[in-house]
Amino acid sequence: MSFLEAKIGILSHVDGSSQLTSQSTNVICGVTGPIEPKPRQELPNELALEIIVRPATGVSNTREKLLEDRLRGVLTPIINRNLYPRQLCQITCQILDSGESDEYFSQKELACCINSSFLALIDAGIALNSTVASIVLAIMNDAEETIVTNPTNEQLLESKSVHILALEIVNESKLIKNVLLLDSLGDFTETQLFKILEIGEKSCVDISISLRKIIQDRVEQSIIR
Amino acid sequence: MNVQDRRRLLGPANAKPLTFNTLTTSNESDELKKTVLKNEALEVALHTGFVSNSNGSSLVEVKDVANSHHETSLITSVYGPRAIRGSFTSQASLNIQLKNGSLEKYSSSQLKEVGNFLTNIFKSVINLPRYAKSGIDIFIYLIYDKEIQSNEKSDSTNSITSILPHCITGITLALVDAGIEIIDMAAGGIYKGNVFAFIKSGEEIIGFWKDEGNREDIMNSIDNCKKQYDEYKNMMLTYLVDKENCKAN
Amino acid sequence: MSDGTVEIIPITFPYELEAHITPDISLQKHLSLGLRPDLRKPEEFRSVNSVNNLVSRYSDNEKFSSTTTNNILGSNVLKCGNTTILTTITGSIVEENQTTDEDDLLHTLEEESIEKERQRKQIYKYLPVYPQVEIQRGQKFRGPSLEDMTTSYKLYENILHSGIINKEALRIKCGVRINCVNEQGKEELKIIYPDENNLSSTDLQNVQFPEKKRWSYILYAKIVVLGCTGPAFDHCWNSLIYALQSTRLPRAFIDERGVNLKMNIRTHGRSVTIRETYDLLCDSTKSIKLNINDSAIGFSSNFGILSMDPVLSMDDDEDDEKIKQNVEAPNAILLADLDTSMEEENIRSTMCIIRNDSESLKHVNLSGGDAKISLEILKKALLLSKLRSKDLSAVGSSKN
Repeated sequence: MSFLEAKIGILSHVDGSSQLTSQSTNVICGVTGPIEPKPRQELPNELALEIIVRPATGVSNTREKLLEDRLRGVLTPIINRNLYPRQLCQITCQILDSGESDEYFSQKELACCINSSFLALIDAGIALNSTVASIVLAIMNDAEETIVTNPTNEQLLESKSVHILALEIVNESKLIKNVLLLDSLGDFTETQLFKILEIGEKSCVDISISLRKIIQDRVEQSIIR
Repeated sequence: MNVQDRRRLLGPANAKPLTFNTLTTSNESDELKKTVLKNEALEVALHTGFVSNSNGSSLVEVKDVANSHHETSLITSVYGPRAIRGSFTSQASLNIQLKNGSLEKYSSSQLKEVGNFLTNIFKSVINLPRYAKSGIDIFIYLIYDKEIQSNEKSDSTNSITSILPHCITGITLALVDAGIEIIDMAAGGIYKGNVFAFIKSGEEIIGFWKDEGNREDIMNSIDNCKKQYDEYKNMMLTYLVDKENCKAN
Repeated sequence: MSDGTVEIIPITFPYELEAHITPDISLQKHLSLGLRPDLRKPEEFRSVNSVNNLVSRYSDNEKFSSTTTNNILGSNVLKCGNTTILTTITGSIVEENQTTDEDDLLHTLEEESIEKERQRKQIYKYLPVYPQVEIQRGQKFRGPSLEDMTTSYKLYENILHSGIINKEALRIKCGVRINCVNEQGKEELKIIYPDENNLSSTDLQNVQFPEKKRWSYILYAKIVVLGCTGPAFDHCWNSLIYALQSTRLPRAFIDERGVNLKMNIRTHGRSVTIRETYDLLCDSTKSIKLNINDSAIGFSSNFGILSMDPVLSMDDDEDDEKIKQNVEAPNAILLADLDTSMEEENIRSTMCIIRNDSESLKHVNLSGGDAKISLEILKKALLLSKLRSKDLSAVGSSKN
């Protein structure tokens, strides 16, 4: 997909990193781990996750806490945590450009955070169970109630409802295993919700394929011939 | 002032609190007097064991016209005895915290002071050595608190002082509900701004609080508080016995 | 022992202990019997009781009303199972033309075209409330917990995006307090509102209403959850909706002399007119009901999905073939209205749906941490939430 650009391994002081741009939303993500946790973070039989989201402007507040909470919900099931008992993995997402009116929306940022954390986790070599891809969709406030994938900020503001979808995809981007996150806000109907899932499914598979391509390019570059 | 609270949603910074115009018309105070006269007696409602995630809890609702001039309702919840972090302790560590309800009436330092006072009282009520290596946390949530204007000239009681006896009643009931061993049922009374808390049928004073209270006539205050102690204690005992009877039937 | 065989005696634990040591297995065992730890059926919700306006200024309660002098505009106590939620709505006043940067822009640019632009943008039509949630789980108080913060922000986001409160609903139609002479020839203070019918023409002539300035109410919600044993968001949301339905806004007025107070100031050779900001006062007797979009109101319900352990859920007499089938395609079960820590901690696939009792959905959150959320299960949950929403709106209307 043309609207998604990403670079992997751009930071030198962390184990894995990525920078992802989708339209005007721009997120940089760093992953450190597995490392030794503080005693209060330690989990006896699995990997502890420390997830931090930093906003583009100002300091983080409740809004970022909710972003972190949702990001944790998406990443926890895809990481093979049982491989790293009593260890810690830090995932930090710095939003460089929110690309949306952050007073009202956070969906575009969250989708970018999910996709870039996935790339950074791969770069850090953390064992994953499956892959994830995330997309924002909006239903417009027009007569046909058209569904827009990856809407711009203008479109978000004019939309009737906004949806973010993150899917767990396995088998070389061919099989959808589960819905990791669907968060819908606004005014919509059941039929529209199923339509959203249907369209979102296709876009997520597209994104998953382009994420794989990015990883593949990166791996090819790093092989010494 | 400019430090932003990052953990709460505060809304626009330039918002101004609501201020109501004061109505000091004569007919309203007449109405007030009427209600005061109607309810000369002490009205108390007690209830225990409804905060399900705590070990014990109580709800105390009091409308006290004669002594504290307050209409108060508070929820007490007891958590513990439960394991504590850190090194070995030979007896339970007790912690009592108060929280403002929706009215945001008292400052946090006032609440802390009262919390410490109550902690000291209950250190001598709870059988702490029985619970080694444990912590007992007690939270009091002030749902509602309102001063009732009295007919007589108000005797300058600091309002947080007047809720103290109700706090003591609440904690005692919640402790009983939690099944934590106490030496005796504690209760207290207030007279002219002095608060006394007693155990052992008033033979032993376990707490004394005085802010702006009457300082000449302490002995008289003790006698009056003792009367209230008896009253509260009887109420608690009647309630608990009734509750047991209900269970038995 | 002499013949070399070892006898293995299985260890059994009493129920309470097992629930503590292996909550996941204990939960599975319950469900295989068709019951949940709190003895509800899988798709059974807890009953809800709700009382409005017990402690607010505009209480219906005889006992409080004559003497209440607090600033609480609306309140609700909601009891769902063993969980109690207290919600109180308070407010403050903000002067609109200085609220946000956008509004500043609005005045510098051409107002009409911008206004048109804003018409299209749904989200600008609505206002949020600012919630502050305190979920009491027996932890020592060190400021809001993570759960408090995320719940607060979710409530904020949902009130804003559902479009429950229009900007117009919170705008203040400001009155003016004037000195006038009554029939007995005495001077008295009188408050006049522009939209009141009983105004005499002389009054209207004498009074100048402030036109240039606009004020709005800001609403805050304080929500305390007591005895919380499961996910709290739904109950907070429902309680908040009930509280908003019962909220009344006081009328506000300005003193006559404050209406047109101007000052001319010269700075750097330029003359600037400054309008004095004058604080509004609220009328302690008159109030109007908060106007909320009834069509936008939805009630919230939550669900959990758990894949049943095939070994635990089978009957003893099932043959190996059947067990093998079960292992390959584990059965997912839908649980409504999660409660007890056993369910909260072991069910990682959850759903939260806010909707009304007809076709309109307001919020859907699916989070598939564990069991697969299939379309059938989603459809079932949507249907259940519709029925639940009908019940909940009935609870609200019967009490008002």
